[in-house]
Amino acid sequence: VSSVVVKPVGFPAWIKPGLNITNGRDQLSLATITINQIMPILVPGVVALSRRARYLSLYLFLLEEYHRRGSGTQDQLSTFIKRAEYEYLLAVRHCSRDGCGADATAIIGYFEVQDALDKGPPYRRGESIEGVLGGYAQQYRSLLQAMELVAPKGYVVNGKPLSVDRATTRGAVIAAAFRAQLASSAWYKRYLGHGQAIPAKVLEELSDRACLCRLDESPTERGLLHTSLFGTRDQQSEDQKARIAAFALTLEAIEADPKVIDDDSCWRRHLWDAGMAAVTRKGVRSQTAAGWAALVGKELYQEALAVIWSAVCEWGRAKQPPDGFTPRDLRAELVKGLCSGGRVFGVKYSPKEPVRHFAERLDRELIDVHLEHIRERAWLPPHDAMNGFGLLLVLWQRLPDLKSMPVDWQVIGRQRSLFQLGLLGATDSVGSLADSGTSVADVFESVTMRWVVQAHDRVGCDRLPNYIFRFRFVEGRWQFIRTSNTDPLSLGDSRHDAITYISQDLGFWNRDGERAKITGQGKALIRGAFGT
Amino acid sequence: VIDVRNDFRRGWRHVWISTFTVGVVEMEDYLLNQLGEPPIEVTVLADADRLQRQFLELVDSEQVERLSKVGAQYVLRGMRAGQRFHPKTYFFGNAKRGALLVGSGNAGLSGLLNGAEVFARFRSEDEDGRAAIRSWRDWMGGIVDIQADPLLRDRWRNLVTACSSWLAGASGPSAFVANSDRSVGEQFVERVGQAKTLLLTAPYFDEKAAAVYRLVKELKPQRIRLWLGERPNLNGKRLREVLKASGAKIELSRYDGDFVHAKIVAAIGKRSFLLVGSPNLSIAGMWLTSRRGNCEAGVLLEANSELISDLFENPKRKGLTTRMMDWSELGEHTYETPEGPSTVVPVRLLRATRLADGRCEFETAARREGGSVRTFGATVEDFELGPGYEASERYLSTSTDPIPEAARLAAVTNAAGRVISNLAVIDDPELLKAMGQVSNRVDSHVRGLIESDLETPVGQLLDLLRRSCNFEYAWQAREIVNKLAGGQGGQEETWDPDTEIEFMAAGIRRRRIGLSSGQINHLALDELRAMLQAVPTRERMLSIVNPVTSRADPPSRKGHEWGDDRRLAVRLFNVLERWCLAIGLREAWFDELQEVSNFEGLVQVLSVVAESVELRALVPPEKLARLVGALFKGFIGSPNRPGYFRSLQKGPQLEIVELLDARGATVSAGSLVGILVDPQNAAFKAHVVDWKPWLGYCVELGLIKGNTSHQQDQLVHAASYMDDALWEQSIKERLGLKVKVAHDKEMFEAAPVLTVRRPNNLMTNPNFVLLVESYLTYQPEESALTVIAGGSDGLSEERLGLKLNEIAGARCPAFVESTVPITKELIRKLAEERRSWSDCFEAVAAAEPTSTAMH
Repeated sequence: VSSVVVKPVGFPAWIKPGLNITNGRDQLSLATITINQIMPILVPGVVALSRRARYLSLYLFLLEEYHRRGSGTQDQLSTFIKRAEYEYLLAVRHCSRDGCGADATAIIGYFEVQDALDKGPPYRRGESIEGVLGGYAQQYRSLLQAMELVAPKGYVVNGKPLSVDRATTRGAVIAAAFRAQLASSAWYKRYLGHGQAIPAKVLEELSDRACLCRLDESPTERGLLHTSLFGTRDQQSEDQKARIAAFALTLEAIEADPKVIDDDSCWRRHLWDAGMAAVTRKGVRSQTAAGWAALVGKELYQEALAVIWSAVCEWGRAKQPPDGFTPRDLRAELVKGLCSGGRVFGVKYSPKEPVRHFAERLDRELIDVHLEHIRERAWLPPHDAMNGFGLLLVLWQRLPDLKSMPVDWQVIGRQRSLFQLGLLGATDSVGSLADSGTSVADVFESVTMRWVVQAHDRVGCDRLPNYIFRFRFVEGRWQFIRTSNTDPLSLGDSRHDAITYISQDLGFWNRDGERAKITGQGKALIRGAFGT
Repeated sequence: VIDVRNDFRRGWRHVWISTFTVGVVEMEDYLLNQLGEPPIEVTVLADADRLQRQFLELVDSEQVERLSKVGAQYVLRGMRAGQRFHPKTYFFGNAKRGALLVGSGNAGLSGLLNGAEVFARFRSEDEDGRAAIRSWRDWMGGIVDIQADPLLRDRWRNLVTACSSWLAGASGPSAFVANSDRSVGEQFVERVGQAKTLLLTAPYFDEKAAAVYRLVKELKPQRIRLWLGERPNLNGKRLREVLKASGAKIELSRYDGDFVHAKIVAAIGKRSFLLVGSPNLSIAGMWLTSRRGNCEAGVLLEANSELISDLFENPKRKGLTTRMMDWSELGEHTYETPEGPSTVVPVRLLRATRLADGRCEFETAARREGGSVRTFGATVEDFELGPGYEASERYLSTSTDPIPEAARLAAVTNAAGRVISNLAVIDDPELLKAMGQVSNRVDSHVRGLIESDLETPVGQLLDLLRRSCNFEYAWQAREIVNKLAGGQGGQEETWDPDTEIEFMAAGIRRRRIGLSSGQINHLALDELRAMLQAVPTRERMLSIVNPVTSRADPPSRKGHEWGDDRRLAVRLFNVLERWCLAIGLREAWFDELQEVSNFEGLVQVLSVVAESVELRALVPPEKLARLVGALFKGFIGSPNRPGYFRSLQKGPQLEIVELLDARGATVSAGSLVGILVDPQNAAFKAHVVDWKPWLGYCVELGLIKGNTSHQQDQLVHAASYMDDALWEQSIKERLGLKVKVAHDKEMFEAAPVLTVRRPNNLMTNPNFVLLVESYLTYQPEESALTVIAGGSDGLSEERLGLKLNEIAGARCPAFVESTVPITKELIRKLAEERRSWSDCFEAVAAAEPTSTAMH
């Protein structure tokens, strides 16, 4: 249309789609319970992606360095950090230590430098990852703030808000300790903040002096990080006490079974068992173990619903009438299609059987199978809603008598989200249905409709204009969206990696071939936490 | 393209929607939220039959509880027309401007955010836009008029009044069309006359394609271009016949990628016209009036033919493409009869209205005697109806009991418990009014103030403080404790695990400044330092109540003028008192950082109140003194009942004082208290007496500090000011002796008499030495006094007569004399060594072998 044509007032137009169709991360509003409710209690400040202790020093150093070099805007700081991250990553990839270099774990922008490495030295400069402030903002900034090592932009100092992030006085001390490691390096003196290509030997020198894996060669810096995370013997904040307890519990698990390090399923098994053994109401160890076991229970509850959700999505897409299910039809068909009798984990069930009978029988039959193994079996595709339901029932059966347990079981177990009950709320609900003699099919229907079907629709509405629906209640019909991804939502990170990596970096344990050894420092941390 | 999200935004005062269907869930969970905070009145009119079906589906699927806002935050009404209430219009307005969307999309996700829809947008700033909006006003006003619905009429009146500055006035010719009197098709044909080319698209046609047939017959086009989206509802064979029979050249096109809900009819000729809006290519939509067919609304305007063609040919919607279609593809479409109206119910429930006492009034179209109703919400409950009465051809009856607050829908039931009426939304007029009317709102961000208060400097001051402090957590914690203790209150600071869980769930954190080891928690102090930084300084607060205005600037019109608004004064005092009292709640100590931070905030705000002439008019000195008393009593307390600060160990105390001092809060406290304890102040004595338990303590610790040496002297004077009553009070607190001072002439000339009636161990209780020492410190000029102890039975009274530097006499019960002259030094020594008078009286000393003789 010619640009000189004038549109009359009110000339119509097509509407712009206002929905952002996306997969979503928490389609049942369950992961949020862990991320936003439970983790800040159990291990305050430590986020899933804060996994390498030395990154804390690196970022403090970069913030201080940026300030020392005259500072600027937050955008310029972002570029400064992302470029430094890129170079540091190149250096890490040049590290010659076992387990580091190309095998380094939990590093920021691993694949971003691959192209440069393939082309070989001298390396052209680049930026680590997309997003403002790079990996600093995405993975470490919140922990640094929680540790009061960084004051964020906008923080008021002497009556004026900061224009960029700054290291606090304590943060600057750590930055200085890190700087001391590389002050005489070529990278620090000639390359940081500049644009020329970097020779390999410069990166090798940087990695020799300050690689992620070489924190053990910088005891002062490591000591300072330790103090910031955990306080001192005489002075510990509540957050630091919680962190110490959390790390100590994992160290105990590592000591008992080194597989814990690389296998979060194994870690959860140990946490659950430790919590079930927390038979006294008092004592830091019992309380800690109880809290973490309740977290594991919550994750299992989430997995149970996730499996049901995935099965419902698949089934709904295959079976729905052209205009969707009426509410009544959905209820009836769901039960008919997904809970019509058969076996759950090899154990026969009848839909009409009282749910308590079945749950007790299932638990008895699986008495030797750990909940975590049941979870793994439930997770195996094709997803069977009854496997998810079975997992929920066994979990309910295996919960301890909370009256005799430390209160942390309840504190964590009762954490809930806006749309979902927590672990104990859900099992209480199943329990009260069971008390009134409700059948397997009716409890399955209730669980599925309330905590899966309706919950997803509510979460979907809450996320608008992001469109995460796999099914929706539209004009009286449950409509399943055919093109959507029906994979079950995966478990969120319960800080397994963060705790194991950071504790290794801080020297609480060492690898000894296939085995792991808790160091004296690790043992001291456990003693300090639990007095054992 | 039109981004409807630009219209669903904050800042509107009235939103009025007409739609065929409404996605109540997305309306509640998303669209309403986009419109922002009150004041806003949102009214949605939807097809009654479709709405009814939707309500029934929510009831069937036990999801009524998802409706948390209908009837409380917006009004939703089912509307009836000859066949369907089908117009899709969206009005947004405030006092200054407005906008109107007219188009094909229903009020829901697919209609407004994701569908293939077409809308026209009018703005009040354009003359033509204003004309269209005024035409819409006339049309909608007519619809409201015939509803006989008082709530709807009220809201319509509110809208018209609030937007009158631009909405009032004659409508005149405009692009807006509706079918109240003439069908949309007739209006289109009349404007067009004859057309060379007819362009059509719609998702729904009548079974016989009669609407298209009539259009073609009236306009006699030489060329017809038809676009169809996926899954249109039409009789393909019949439409093919109609098109072929027209003799025109036919072009068939397909929109691939989605169901297309847009409805557009255009005629291109010498002049070119376009019709968009709600009417489908059906007889009920296009060719009937709202009395017989659907109620429809659209836009009819003349436009450039290129623009019109482009609108059809290039749907600027992601995922939608166009391609040619052949006759056979058209012929494959089959017509499905739309769902008819829901089953007719015996009773038509017109409205359900919640009354102030919680009961609900039900209005039905026909007379009924007794009966009951069922309400739906989080629970489903039945209620008896009381006797009713007839009013203007309506029949009204009221539930005998209050209905649950969460109930959202209601229906009439018969004796057998069967629902015999439609479902109606339960309207809560009070909540709806509160959503819409600023002046009547009782809620604001500052609990206890109303919305309009926030436009005054004092409201802004409190709002500023509220944002940096948290005064409600302590009250919230108290509620939790009371609830858990069954209203009995919890034991101080011995919260059981359940209480702590509830606290945590309520977001109340335990933060300690001092550790149980007696040491200081420096990390907490760092956190406190950061928190205190967020508390607005006194200067910042003063700048709000005494804004600096440039002479060149006219006085600001924003906000209310200062005045003697007595109601505001009452509310202000109540808010401040609530906040000051919160400091003293033991539950507040759970979060020590917040406690200290709140204290600083209140000290600063009260000092501003004390200094500002305008604020003093609202909070007179006697009230200010009450607030100061409550604040310091709560924070400091007395030796017998220590407040939070006094209960700390010395180390943390000094740290806190240092922090507050650095923030200027100690000087603010000095200036605040200084004004009230000015010796010229008539209430001076009353204040120093009342504040004795904490004033001296604070001055000594530096928590209250003068800004000048004169002010400091004044504070010290007030803190150390003493009279008999105060001295008696201090002795009671310090020694536990209930003493009375009298200036009678007794044993010695003009000597005061100190009488302590209860104990009768005058000679052996060391406190009586301290008593005398204290009195002589208080009245250093006195050189003689008498102490009387015990004797409340009239028989066992003990007496001690002293004259400094002379031998003293005592009757206990026999008369004895001191072994040495009683001097001030001797008294001080006895007091320091915690010895009693018996040590100075030989006979008594002999009778009391445990005492040490004095030499």
